[in-house]
Amino acid sequence: MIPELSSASGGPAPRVIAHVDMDAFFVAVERRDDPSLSGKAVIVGGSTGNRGVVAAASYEARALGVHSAMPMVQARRLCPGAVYIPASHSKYSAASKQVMALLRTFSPALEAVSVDEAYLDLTGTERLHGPPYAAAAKIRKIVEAELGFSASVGVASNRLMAKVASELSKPAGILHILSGREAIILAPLRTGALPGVGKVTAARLRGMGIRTVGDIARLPLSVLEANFKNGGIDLYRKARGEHSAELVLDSRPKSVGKETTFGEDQGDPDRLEAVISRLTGEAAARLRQKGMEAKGVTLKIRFEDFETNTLAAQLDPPASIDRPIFEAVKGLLAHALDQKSKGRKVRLLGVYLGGLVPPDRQPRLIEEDSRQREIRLAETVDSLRDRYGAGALVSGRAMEEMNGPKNREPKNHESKNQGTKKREMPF
Amino acid sequence: MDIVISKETLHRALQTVQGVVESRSSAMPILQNVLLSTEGKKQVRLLATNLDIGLRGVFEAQVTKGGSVTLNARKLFDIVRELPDADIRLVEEDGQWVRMTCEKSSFRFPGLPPSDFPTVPKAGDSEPQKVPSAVLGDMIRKTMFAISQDETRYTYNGVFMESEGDKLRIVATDGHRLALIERPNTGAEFKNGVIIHKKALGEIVKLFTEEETDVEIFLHENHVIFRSGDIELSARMIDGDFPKYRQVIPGDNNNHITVDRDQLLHALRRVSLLSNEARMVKFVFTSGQLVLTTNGSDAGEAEEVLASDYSGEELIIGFNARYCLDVLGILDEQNIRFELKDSLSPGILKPEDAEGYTYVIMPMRV
Repeated sequence: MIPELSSASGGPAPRVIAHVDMDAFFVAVERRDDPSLSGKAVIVGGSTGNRGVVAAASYEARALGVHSAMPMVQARRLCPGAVYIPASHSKYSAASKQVMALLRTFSPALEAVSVDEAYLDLTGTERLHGPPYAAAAKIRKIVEAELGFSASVGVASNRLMAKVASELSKPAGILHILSGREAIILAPLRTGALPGVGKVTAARLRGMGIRTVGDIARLPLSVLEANFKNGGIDLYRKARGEHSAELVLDSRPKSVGKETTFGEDQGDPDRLEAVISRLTGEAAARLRQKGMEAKGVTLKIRFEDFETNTLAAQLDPPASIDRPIFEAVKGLLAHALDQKSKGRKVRLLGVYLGGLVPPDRQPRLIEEDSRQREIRLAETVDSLRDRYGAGALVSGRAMEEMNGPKNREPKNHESKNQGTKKREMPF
Repeated sequence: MDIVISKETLHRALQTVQGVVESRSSAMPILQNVLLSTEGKKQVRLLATNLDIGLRGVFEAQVTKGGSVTLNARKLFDIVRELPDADIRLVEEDGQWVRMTCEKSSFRFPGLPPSDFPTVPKAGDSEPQKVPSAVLGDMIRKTMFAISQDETRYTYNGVFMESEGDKLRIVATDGHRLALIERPNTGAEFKNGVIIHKKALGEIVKLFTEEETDVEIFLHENHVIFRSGDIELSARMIDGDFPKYRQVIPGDNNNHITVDRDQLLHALRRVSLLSNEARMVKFVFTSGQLVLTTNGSDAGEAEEVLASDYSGEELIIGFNARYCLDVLGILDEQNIRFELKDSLSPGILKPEDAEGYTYVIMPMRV
């Protein structure tokens, strides 16, 4: 028998990881700004019209069957009396910063995973905050008292279980999963309740007759590996509640980018320009989602013979909206085709935004209004794409690409500047 | 072509055009060349262009046989610089090759066909507008730093020159700050104003420094041409409307504070070393003093205290240090004056005892 690492008898003391998940965060922010919304069914969506999907729904609306990502039309049918509010992401991001700042006072070891959830490493804070459950209660209470937002807090010995715990405790709950009890808690849950098991994996598991996490835990590793390749070992461990307790402490990305490999090598400059238009739009959207601006942009271009070039340009002032970034990338592409291609076709294009800095706190002297309009426009486009999918709103230039052949392997890229996990731009 | 020119003259001529020659290899290699053409028996004309600006100069030479050649300007300059102070002979050989000899040195260069050299607009016969040379150079020098480097905002990529009554005015902005200078007008007329391309500005400051002479300015289709003596600089005019600058110059900034320019410049340089990425420095004006502070960067915190003549209520305003340093560095006056309203409205910086200069900065959110 291999001894359990985190068994209660001997061994190192278990880690204490908390997962703090804000309850219907967008709705909570709207309610803070307009208290008359409290107690009412509130639905935050991409647009006030009938189009779009639900970004967040208050628990009153959820009780009537409304949930995130549901088409707005359906939500209106289920919940005609609700107050409908268009999403304003800059507001949520500002509120998120307040939340994270407050959480950091509990432990400097914080990993913000999105605007409304974060992991906190509370290991060794017992004398300060009390035992895990008490600490979680304290976090909930202080977030509520200081900022007026309700949170759910899960505590466990690793990240996976902390997230499962907060999910099980929602809304406005606290759950502490004791070290050693992980597998027992997980066993009756649907496979989809395991973080990382999405619709596709869940469907494949169902096809194998697997419905609960306990079912997965009973499968031998070889069967999981045969069906899920490298993902097999991951499922095997997760089903037993085994996971890392290490937090990614500095989650500020060093660069964001998108690249695409063509199904068929491309030589037409207009088509290539259409592709970088789309890639720029997607990379810039990720940048805005992170609330950052970029000081530089890099074009990666691989020719048919696999020779790869990277060309970089400065963005001054730093930018997060498409227009100035696209202008710069367009110049790089023209230069690459002019000077580097030597008649070769292009196999791959990538657009990377680097030198990420927080948004300029410098308002403009002239045309501040039009700058604000441009930013708002970008935010609106982002929220529409969030709800409808990337194809919902496409620039004319990027649309040209859609008539062309499909691409081989769309790839996201994000490199973080964290100790040993540091990844460089994949050039 | 067969000419003899003194080393000193050719060196000066090449130095004059050097700033205009395209330095990077571009789609048009000939832009890295200078065009030399004989003019009569006693002169040679040098012409260089990067398509945005062009520079022509006429220099003394003895012409034995007329003609024109184009040669790599940088190479030629680097060699001529090292030649002894003696006469240099340039002779065109077959296939656009050029032989250069000077005492015991001899060089052969490949040229490019002169007919491929782009045309550069020339000053026409129209009546020029005249501005004293040193005045123009000084006005450009004190405003050009404020233009935008963002190529997508092309109307911000140059300085705006206009005349209004007895004033000649030059304005530059990048959208965050604005520099405006006015000098007495000696009769020049630019009623609708012209935007002079940024690439011309450095050349103007270099070329036009003399107190006594005038620069003649010609507007020629979409170019503005500056002529002084035998030198002619042509610059593409930026087509478009310069931002409506008048409406961003505040008229009701009633807190006036005088500070020693040099002390502020040095204090700000020190403090800004520890400013954050956005380079914000907090200016705290209290009775009798100005405190500069920075924090929020991982590097540390800084504070500097300066004397001021302020006596109002505490006023805190955040400025981008670079915007302040730029202007403090180019002004000559001993004292500068802040004219402020509050922490969110645009602030004005101007020399205390001199008329005609206004610098407006949009504050940062503290």
